[in-house]
Amino acid sequence: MLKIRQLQKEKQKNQEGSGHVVNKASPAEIRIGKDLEELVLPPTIKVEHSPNDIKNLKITIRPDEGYYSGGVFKFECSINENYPMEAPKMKCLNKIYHPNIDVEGNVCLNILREDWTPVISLQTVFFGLQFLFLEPNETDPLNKEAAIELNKDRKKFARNVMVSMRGGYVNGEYYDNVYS
Amino acid sequence: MKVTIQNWHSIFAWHWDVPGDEVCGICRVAFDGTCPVCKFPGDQCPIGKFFDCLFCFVILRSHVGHVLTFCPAIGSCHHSFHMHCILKWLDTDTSKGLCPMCRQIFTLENSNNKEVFEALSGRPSPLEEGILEQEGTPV
Ligand SMILES: [Zn+2]
Ligand SMILES: [Zn+2]
Ligand SMILES: [Zn+2]
Repeated sequence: MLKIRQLQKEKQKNQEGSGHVVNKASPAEIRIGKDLEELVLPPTIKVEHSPNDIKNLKITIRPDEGYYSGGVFKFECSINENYPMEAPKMKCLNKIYHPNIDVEGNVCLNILREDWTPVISLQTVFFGLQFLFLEPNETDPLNKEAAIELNKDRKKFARNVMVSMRGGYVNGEYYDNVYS
Repeated sequence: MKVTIQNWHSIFAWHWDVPGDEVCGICRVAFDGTCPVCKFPGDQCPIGKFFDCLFCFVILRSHVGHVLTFCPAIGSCHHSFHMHCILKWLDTDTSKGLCPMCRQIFTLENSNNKEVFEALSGRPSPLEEGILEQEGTPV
């Protein structure tokens, strides 16, 4: 009888122990929580996440001006336990024609790479992402053809963007329809 | 035995004297709290020790590795962070030794903290020689 009680006690203790680990927010989660609380976003940026996972965010950008106006661009923002020592990882879920985003969805944004510092907040990251659609740039490109076109002939670049956004081929590469 | 607390007298309140924000720019937690990593510091370093330390910086310095990560690191650029938070950042390759706020080389303003910094990071503090010399001259 005594043994059973002891076992029960131990079991309870273990359960409590594991429950504690699950419930306790990690330092990264505490900081992400603060960042999310302080978010003030324009209607062109939407951020969503499932209630029990704030380390994986779904970002939707709907630029209302510039080359990409009218499109709906979805991103996955994954944040690891080293945040904010390490920048969040951003991936574009649509295949798009953009000098700073490659066909695999990798994003070239200085603040997510060499210019990252731990005082940068998620707010700044999301605005930086939106800025790429307002002002795509030809320096340090991930889609070289798009960058060359932007540099050489802005009208042709704009046409290419239009074609790609409707879901079509540019230079033999198929791009996703982003008007849905 | 059950102990019921009927009343208490608070003897003192303490507060870190840190320029600018009351929160660490890295973890966004107040300096008067601990950095989120250090909620339960070191090898069961009792909170009591922490309070002792606040009275005397000499004792504080002997608790290297436990309690010291609480104290704010004030940079010569007047940007402050939890010691632990800034050390973690300076340890990364991306930091290049720069202050996360102003991107100047991060150096400590306070000489007490310089020893803390060296003891915790196991390497010389990036405190510039120029600043050391300045400390010797009367202001
Ligand atoms: Zn901190
Ligand atoms: Zn700490
Ligand atoms: Zn600074």
